[in-house]
Amino acid sequence: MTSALVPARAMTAPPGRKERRGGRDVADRWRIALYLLPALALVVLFLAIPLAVVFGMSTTEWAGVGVPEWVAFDNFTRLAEDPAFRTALVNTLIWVAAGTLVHTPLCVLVALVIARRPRGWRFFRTVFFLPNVISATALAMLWYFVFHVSLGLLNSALSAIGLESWVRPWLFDPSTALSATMAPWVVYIGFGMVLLLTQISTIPKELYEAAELDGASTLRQDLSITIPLIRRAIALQVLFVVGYALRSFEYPFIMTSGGPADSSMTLSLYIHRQMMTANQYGLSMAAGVVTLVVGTVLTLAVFAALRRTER
Amino acid sequence: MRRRTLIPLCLVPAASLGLVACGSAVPEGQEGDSGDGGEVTVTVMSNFTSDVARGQVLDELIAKFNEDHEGEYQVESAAEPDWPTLQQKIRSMISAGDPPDVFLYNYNPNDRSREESGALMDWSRYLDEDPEWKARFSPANLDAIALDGAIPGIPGDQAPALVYYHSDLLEQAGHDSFPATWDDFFTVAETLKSEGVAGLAMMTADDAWHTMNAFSYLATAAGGRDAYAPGESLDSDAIRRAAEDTRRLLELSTPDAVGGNYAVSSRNFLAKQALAVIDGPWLISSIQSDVEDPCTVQVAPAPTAGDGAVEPGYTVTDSLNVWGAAEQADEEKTEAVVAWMKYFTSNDSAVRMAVDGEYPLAVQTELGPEDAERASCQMRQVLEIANAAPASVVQMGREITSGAQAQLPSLLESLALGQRGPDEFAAGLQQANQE
Repeated sequence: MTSALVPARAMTAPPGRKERRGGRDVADRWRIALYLLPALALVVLFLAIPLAVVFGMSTTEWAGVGVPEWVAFDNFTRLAEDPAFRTALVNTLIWVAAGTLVHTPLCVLVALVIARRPRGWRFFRTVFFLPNVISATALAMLWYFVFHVSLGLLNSALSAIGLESWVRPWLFDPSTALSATMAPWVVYIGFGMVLLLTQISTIPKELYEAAELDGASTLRQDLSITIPLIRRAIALQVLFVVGYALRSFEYPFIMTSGGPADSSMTLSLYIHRQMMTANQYGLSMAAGVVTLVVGTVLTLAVFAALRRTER
Repeated sequence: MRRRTLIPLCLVPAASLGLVACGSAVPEGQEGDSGDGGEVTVTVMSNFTSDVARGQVLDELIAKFNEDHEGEYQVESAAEPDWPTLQQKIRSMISAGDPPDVFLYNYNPNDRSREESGALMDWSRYLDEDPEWKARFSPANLDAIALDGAIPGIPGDQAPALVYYHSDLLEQAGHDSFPATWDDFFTVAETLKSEGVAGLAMMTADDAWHTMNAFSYLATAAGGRDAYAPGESLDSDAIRRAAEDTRRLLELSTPDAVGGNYAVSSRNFLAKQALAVIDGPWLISSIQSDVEDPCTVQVAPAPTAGDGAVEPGYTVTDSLNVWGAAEQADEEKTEAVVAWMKYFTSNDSAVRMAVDGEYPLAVQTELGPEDAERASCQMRQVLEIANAAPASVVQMGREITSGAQAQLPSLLESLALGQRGPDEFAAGLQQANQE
């Protein structure tokens, strides 16, 4: 019974050759291990150890000086009771939603248009990508002056066209502050567009030619050929979006400092505030652990969604 | 094949060595600080960057000190412009057991972790050995810093937060001098508001410095000097009244006061968008450079309630900033640090800092007639008011716990937006201060 599972060649191979191959397998394994060692060392040094420190610190109370005091899971209880943290968590999820449901579809739309190579497509591709090479800090400052209550371009434009009733302190009105801090990120679609364009360029031309012969419209081609074939790139874009949303810091920090009254607070900003202003390192690390858990859950959700579409 | 396997083997130690080399905390050229008969190097870490007046004066003082002690001591400035970053850096260095040689930090009676770390030099011996030097510091400041009989720092500065106002705008509102009571000030602010000028430049972001200066004056005007003294409950009538008045002030301020930061608020004042601002003397260099006729900006003590709860002319001050130093194993280096601090806190240096650096130190500072002539119009008034002040109180934002400090912007903004009333504000502040 057992012999039936063994490949015939292995059964007939001379014993000496089998031993030699076994020795080579061991050598190969060692070689693979050695090649992996530098990367593994870096991962341990810069990821595994810091993560262990973050988890460890999240169970302590520490002001940055002296010996940390172990407080078990008190920091997580404090987070759950802190309205600012709850706002930060909800706002971060809104960032993820805006990135997934507004930013990514915009990237897909523009990529589909640019992929058709209309007149001036190179110019527009460059213009759309340009904000990605400018520092987010500079862009946040620029948008601060777009939304500023008295110096802002937006309010000036609204006044100029007779819409004075729409003029408001966009950054410091709790109902608009979060959207205002998200706006620049949502509209800068350059990175996602390039990612998707790269994937679109790998689709064989023959598919479109065949579709055209069958009388498929441009929209039908996009819906039935392009989008299904770039879904992996779209999933990758969503992963980037989730990652950025969880790290969202520059825009709310520069434009609103998380205000007014914490209405534009994000998890990254909360972590920064607890560490830099409140000197509550343990609480800050606990918020970091929650961010990590949220990120892991969202990443797994993206992979699960991708698997489902591929079935 | 063997060569291929050797490459990653070599890369690991090479990368490790690279990391070790990058991680060295001692800048090149500073090895062997002392004990080898060479110059002793002392690094001074502060926020006195060369692009601000006090940083330029510090650089000049260091150059003079190094010249006077050539071949013996060498002082170097390591300036970090951002105050919170500087404070975190110092904390990290103390925590790592390698504090900077000399560093400027903010004293907080609610957080003595740095003094308690055991990593700071005790100055009591050197102060006791030189009574003349010790007499240059206020005994109250030395007592505040003292911990278990040791003095872990030297008083650095404690800037008074005073009212800077545009006298021409005030005249426009029909007043010759700055209002002496808060009620009068509100009347002036309402008059100016109708003309499109804010009463007070304010801000709620970061440490809400300008707003908390006003809040502290309002709280002490209502509840006396101990209105928010350590140990006092912040859920009190004085704090509630101050919260109500602060809400009114924010209403009468510029439209970007809620959410604005120090730069926004200062700019509003300098651009005459606001009649006044309550700030420290570091504002003077901006007044001198940015206001068309700088001497139209006058300085005044803040108003009181006019009911005698506090003496008119009292001042609210910034927290006491303290010069700490690393506990040194090397006696030669300790001598260098002491020599530098004595030089830096001498009357000559203090005068230079006050007159040219627009930054009065927390030491006795006697201006000669020439110095007084050279001082800016605002600095002369600042020194006069500070010297004549019957009492001083540290600003409230500097006296509460760091956890409460972190929640101040949110509390002030919710007060301004009407999400919290004065009662909820006071209760929220008290709760944050106890966490």
